[in-house]
Amino acid sequence: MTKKKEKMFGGKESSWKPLLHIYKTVQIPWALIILVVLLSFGSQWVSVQLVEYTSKIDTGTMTAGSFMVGYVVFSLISILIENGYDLANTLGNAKMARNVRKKLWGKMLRLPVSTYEKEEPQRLVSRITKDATFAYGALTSVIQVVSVVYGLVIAMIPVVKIFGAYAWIVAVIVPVLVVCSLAAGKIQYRLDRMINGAYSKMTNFYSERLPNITYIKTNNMEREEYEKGLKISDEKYRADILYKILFALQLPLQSLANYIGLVFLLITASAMVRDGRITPVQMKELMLYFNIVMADATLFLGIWMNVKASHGGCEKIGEINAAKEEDSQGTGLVSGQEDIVFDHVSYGYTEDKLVLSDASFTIPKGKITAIVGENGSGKSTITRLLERFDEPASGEIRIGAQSLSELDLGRWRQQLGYVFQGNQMIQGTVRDNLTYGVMGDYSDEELTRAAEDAQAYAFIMEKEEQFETPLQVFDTEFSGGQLQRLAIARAFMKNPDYLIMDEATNGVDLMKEVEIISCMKEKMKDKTVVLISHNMDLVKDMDHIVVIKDGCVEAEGTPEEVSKASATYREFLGKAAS
Amino acid sequence: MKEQVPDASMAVKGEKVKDRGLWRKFFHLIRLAKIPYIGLAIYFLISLSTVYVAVRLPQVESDVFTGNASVENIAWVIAVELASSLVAVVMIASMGIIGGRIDRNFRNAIWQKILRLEPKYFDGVSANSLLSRMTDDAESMKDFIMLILSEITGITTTVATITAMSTMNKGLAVIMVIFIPVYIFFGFLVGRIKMRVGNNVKYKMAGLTNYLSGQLARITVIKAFNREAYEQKRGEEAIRDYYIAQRREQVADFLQYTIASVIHMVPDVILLLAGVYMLERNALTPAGWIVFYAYANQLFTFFSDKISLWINVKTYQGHMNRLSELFSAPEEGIKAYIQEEVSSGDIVFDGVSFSYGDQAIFTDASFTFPKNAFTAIFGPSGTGKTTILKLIERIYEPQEGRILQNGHDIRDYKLESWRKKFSYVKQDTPMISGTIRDNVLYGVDEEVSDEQIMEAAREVRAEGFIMECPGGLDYEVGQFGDKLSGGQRQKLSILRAFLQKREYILLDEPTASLDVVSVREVMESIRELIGKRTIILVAHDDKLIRDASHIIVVEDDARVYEGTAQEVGRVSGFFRDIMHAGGKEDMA
Repeated sequence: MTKKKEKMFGGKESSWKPLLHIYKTVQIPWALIILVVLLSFGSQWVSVQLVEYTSKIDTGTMTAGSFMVGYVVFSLISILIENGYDLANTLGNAKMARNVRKKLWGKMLRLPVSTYEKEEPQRLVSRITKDATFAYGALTSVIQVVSVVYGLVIAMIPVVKIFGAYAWIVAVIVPVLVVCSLAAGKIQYRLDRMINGAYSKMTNFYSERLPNITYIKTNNMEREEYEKGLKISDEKYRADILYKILFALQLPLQSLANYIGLVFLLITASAMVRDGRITPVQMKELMLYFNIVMADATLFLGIWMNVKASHGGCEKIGEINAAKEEDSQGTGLVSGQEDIVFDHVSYGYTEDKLVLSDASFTIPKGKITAIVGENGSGKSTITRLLERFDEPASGEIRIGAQSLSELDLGRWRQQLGYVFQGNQMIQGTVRDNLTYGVMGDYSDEELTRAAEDAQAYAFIMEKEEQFETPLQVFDTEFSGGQLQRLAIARAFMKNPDYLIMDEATNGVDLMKEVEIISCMKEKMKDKTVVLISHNMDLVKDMDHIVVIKDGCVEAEGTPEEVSKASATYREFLGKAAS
Repeated sequence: MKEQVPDASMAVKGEKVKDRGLWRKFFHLIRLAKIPYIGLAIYFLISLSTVYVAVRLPQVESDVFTGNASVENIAWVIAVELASSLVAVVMIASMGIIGGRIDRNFRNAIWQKILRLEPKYFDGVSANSLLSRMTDDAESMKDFIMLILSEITGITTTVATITAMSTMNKGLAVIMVIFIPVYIFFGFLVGRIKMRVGNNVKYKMAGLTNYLSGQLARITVIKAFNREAYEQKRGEEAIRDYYIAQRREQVADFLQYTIASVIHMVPDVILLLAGVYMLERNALTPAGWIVFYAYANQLFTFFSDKISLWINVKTYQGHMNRLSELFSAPEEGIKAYIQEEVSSGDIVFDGVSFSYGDQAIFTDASFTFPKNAFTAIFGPSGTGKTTILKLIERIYEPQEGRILQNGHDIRDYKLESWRKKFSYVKQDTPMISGTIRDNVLYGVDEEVSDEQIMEAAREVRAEGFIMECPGGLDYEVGQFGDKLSGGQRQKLSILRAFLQKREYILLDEPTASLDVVSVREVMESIRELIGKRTIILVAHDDKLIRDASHIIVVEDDARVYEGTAQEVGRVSGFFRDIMHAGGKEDMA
């Protein structure tokens, strides 16, 4: 299983398509976005109105009466507008994120299984939780360009009225501001990447070891792991402080334009005050307007940053959103009473290494077919092809007369029961799990019966909450063998036309395995079963046997036929018996 | 990278913590942080200059805005503005260094503690919650310490400001001071509401994350059962729940900030009216007013920040409680040992009782693992066979009775020397990112050449797939070894045990995922060790135990039998049944 796992998502210089695709396919909260824009106009307007009052208060020239009323009224308006703006903005973001999340989750559920093998599934969690929040920024930012420009203009007009030359100062400062902000943004981006890299390296280290502390202890590796931990921790520390130092150093760069403007303003305006050309109150007004202008200019630059953030943050989810879903075009239906035929089927993770090469065999209807072969010979690939988790590279799988790839995917999977090795429980109670495949109603008798047949009833009843015992995906109070039996019970509940058991009884002791198989035979009477097992005592009693060796079919037929034709089978039987 | 799944318990349980003992715990934990005191002292000296600026700047500015826009004054303002931005650079950088150090020291202390904990501590604790101890909790402790540091500077500034105010104008200062309790009260009130709403958001987020990560891990099951539509509905519900919680928080934020700002208007207006009144009567100069108003604004800002402080302290408390619980958990191997050296010999269970909670695994059980023999532990699944191995490894300790080796209670041995005697092949075989070589040499003390590894690999039939992996022994196995199949991991795990060359080999269903041919070859290699090593094997497959010279049967009813196959066959019903079912009557 040394298949190459190429990342399906990521890599390559990014295009804008993914982001635009999200905007095209996800519902955008326009009402809130329009409200945000209106409020941002209001906020620009009110902050200019307030200058008159603040400048007087700040210079001790305020009066009571109408001045105070005006101050209170505008302050209250400002409070409402500013907070309303924040509310509308955060709400808009949350709503957009919600819409993106819903869309993504629906999409993820319908991606082909092979996608999940290329992309670590747990990584996709943060695509939904975190990345989805980036979709909103670009939208509002772009629209807000208008209100920011409006703000710049209405703050500049009074300034130029008081102090004509000031326009020139701004003309000089703005390019400085642009250059500095871009530089600072670039530095910030690098810093973020560096710190995120160090963080994820550290988290990876710990998250791999923390579930395995006992393993570390039994190998006496505590000291070595402690040392390694110190090293990783130190790397993170160095990245941390480097980040903080560089971050601090680029701060003056960010405010350089501000400082230049301020110094210029202070020098020229104070000279004008000394000459008596303007009053100190007007100087204060100039400074306040200057603040608004600078704030708007920064906002203006921030727009590009926000757009970039949306672009970068949504790159992956945009690709997922645009990725091809599992093929659900097929409309073919089968009765469940057909032979399954593999007709020259090849499959490989890479071109040159085939897991299954030119395999032809039949899984006869109404019988139990055992597939035998060494570890890694391609047995499980057969079951995955049957589930249509993967599609054959060449050749065809037929159910009766129809090609498997032309069947209605949902209906086909509904007809299949699939038990494999390992924890297959989903979150929920034991009952939720056992009835996961049941579409209609069921009785408690049926549930009990399925649990009994899978030799699971006794240990379920031992639990305090019995069928209502909660199951977790990662930590569970059931042993491996018990989980295996729950999965079998679930397949029994589903009552499928075709049952695939891929090392389904691993971890179950021999007595119970024998019981389970005999119940399975009873339950699946006249139905079709595919059984993969290393237990030759079981295999040799099956109706039909297919022997796989290095991805090729070595033999198929009844046990007698196979033991004549297949050396591998004879070796297996021999080794098992001796 | 495996994404961290926040444990849902974190968000909920955080609020149920008791207020008491906060500072005691804090000081206990702070010792672990090994705070760099010299750096701190320097930081404080620098921060004092900001106090000076906060008091002095409004005075000069008031001079400027009341008409004295002299060159000196302007130069002073410019100089101070530039200097404070430089000071800010230095302060942020040094804060970063101090914080980074504290963070690292916490992390290392937690890591060390975790490695020393008794293994049973991990039974009830999920790896994810341990991870959040290492990352979130450590970081939050750092933040808390840094917060306290910055508060000290803030308080110094505030005291200096209030002092300066009261020397200027008693009347206005009194108005200011009267409103401080109002601010604090409002802060606490809002803080409580905010915390509840905020916790709900975190809780719903944890729920969503949990749901998604669980379901994404089972995507094949969802597909095999054709339940995409059902899961989509469930996912959308979790997404909607989170959205609703978020919306509630945002509305609460809106109300809080709006009300806070409106409340703030009251002292502001009173102050302004009093100012106007005094200015008109010349009880106050405009310059005096400017300074005073600037100070007042500084104070307002300082106190309105306290709203969030209250919320933060509550959160820190939760983190702190979890950490101090971790640090008070017992460590293993700290008891004084009598024997440093471990000799070899039989391992004898002498009247051992062990139970998990209420569930008794065995009571007063006595049996022996003879030296250099092959002993098989046999029994139905779920009867505590693995527990015996864990007791031997001293991962658990018996509640009653003793385990003896060579006549010594194994607890008398130094834990490290004792564990060095064992190789342990687990049922589920953990791997850690790195090459195949790294993994098979994990816990191997001596130098081993690649040829030796491959030679041993041949014995467990692992040579073939190692050669096929790109890079052979240099092949990266991936996180948790997930680029290898279960059978491959199991083979490497057995290979590792062979390379460790330890005296006792514990095998817990070592061949569960292997095909018959591989099982045969692995068992052959194990058989070759009989007489040279002590082999203890847990199995429920009758074929594996055929070579065993000694058999221990653990029955469903917690009864334990031992002896040769014939001997246990006479007394154990389970053993007879299995041998019969396996068609091996001739053995008994």
